Amino acid sequence: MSQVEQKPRGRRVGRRFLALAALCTACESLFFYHLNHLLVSQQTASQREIQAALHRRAQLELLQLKREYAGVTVSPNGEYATYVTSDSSGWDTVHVVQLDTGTQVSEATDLYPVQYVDWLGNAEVFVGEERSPGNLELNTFYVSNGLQADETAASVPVFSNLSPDARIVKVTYSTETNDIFVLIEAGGSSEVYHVGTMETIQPVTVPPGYIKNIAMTETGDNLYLEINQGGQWNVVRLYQTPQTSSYTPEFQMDWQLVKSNAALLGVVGNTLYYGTVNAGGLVTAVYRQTSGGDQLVRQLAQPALASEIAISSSGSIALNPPAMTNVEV
Amino acid sequence: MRIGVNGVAFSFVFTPESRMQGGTALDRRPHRTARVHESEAKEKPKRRRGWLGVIVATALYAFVSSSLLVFHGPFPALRTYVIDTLDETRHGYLLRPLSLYTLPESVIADHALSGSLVSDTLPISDIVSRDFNNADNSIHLYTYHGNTFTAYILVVDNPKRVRVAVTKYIGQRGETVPQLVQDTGAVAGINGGAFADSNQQGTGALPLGITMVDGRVITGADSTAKYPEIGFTSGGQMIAGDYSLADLEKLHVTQALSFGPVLVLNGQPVQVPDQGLNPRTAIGQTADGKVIMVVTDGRGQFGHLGASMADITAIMLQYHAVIAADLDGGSSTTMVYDGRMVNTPVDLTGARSVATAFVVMPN
Repeated sequence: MSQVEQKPRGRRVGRRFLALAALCTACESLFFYHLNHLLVSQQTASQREIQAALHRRAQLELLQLKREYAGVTVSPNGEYATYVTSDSSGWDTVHVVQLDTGTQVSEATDLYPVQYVDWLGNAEVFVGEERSPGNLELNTFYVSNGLQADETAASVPVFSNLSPDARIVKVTYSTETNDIFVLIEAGGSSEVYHVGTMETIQPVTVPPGYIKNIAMTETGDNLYLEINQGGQWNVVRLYQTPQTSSYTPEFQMDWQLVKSNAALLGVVGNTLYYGTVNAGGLVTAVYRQTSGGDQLVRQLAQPALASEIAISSSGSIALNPPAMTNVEV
Repeated sequence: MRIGVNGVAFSFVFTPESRMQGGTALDRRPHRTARVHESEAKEKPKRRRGWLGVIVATALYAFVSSSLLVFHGPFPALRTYVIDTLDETRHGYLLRPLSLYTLPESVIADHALSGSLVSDTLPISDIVSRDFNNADNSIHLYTYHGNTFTAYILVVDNPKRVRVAVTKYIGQRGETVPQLVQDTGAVAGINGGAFADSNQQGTGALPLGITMVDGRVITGADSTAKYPEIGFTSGGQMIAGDYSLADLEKLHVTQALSFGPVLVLNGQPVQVPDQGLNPRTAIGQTADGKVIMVVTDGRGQFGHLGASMADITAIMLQYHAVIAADLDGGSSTTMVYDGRMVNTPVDLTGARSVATAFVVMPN
């Protein structure tokens, strides 16, 4: 009989303990979750603040460089910047600085007068040099050590016998095919050249008109032009077909109008970004061309020059950034 | 019959003896009731013992489950916080028992506090000497609210107003920051560098490393070794890093004390080992010479756990510091401005005695 009486009491005590233990575990878990969340959110906030402070510093460094030097560009990842200096004997130097610290990473020295600076990924820099009036060279150097292609490669592409005022104004390339296209302005007109893997240079067949900008897709399938046709700025796509050949003196491509009254803003991966322009030639809205059609990315509050709109590698838009990834010097 | 009338009342006075004398059926009623109450009286201590047992068992369970949840549960930030904070407060020896001996020694060793306070140091040849002659004389006090701490930030525009204050009882005991501020006639101050005591009571008798006040070497006069130093040159430029007395003299440092690590160098955050959350004190300088003094709360004050080194680094960068270093924290953390204590020191007894402080002299 006493066992019968004891059993329910034992159960009762056990139930009380279990209930308290469950309550205790629940309270502990909630409390620890709250503390953990607090700690994580504080860590995240501090890291975000550190990154923001570094970004602000990098922007200030860029603005400072732009005030003092020519040829200021920023690498696609925003980590480095370039600037150009000239010495008294006429040789130029392209310096690469780390934006976070302002310290120099490397420099490419003894360059002919530099006309153009552009980034080839984040590890190399294109340098357009003027060997002599009408003779231009497209050189590259490594960010890590400043070593130039004309030192490491057998040759570098040279564009000869051009008009004395010839200038390299844009370089675009495909990382998949290693094709490079160079836009050169000379004597009031423009020419697009193809640079093959053996540094062979061919003029590209382009529709008639003055070309202001070029950009190529990552896969190398499409080369986009911003071209003035009949007084109107259009974006045109150039592409190769079975009927066109690159084994001819000219690099043959077909063309197709993509958008009239538009400015070419850039290509990210294989996606074209263009802006619709108003009568004054200013961009009023930015669009992205996808397989599903054209998508409005941003309607600009104020019309802006296409050259003042930067498209980042993630596709975000910056108006009047402190520096672009390429610049004419 | 009387019994029947007052049955209930009688039930409390009936004794077994009275029951033994026999009685009617009515007599049994109080008898039965009396037995029930006797049983309750007997059960009470048992129940109490039962509850006590449950409470003890629950407390034990709570300790074990807390330990398991903290050290092995899905709360990695909390686990790191507990380990780092116990390590930094010199209570790392508690980690094994608190974790019920489940925390591997290797984990404790990974988090163990480094002996060195300095992480990065600029060679003296790389330091470009600057003189902040045209600085403004303003002082601004700001408050910053983080998730785990509140920080008070004192920005002193003229770095030449900052000097080191040393306890006047050097060798015997330290002084609190309010006392050091008062002694020097300063208008503001924060606690400073490392110290030792002959009696091990933490009263700040002996400043460690090299201490300089107005160009006078107070401690470390004959030293040739490098110490983690934080100081100001005669031109008001802040220096922080691992330097010897000869280095400091070469840099024309006139105010110096010893602590670290360096948190910001050349405007860049310096990677320092995580040391948990605590009340912290730090000092930094902007490119145009402004001195940034920071203190935070922590250790449960106002429900705040404290600040990490990364939190202090973030604040320093937010205030545009190009150089910054950590000062003595925990119980020592104190800021005084305009005759009042800005923060609430973590000790119940108020501001702790320390050996040195950075103070801001009047215009």
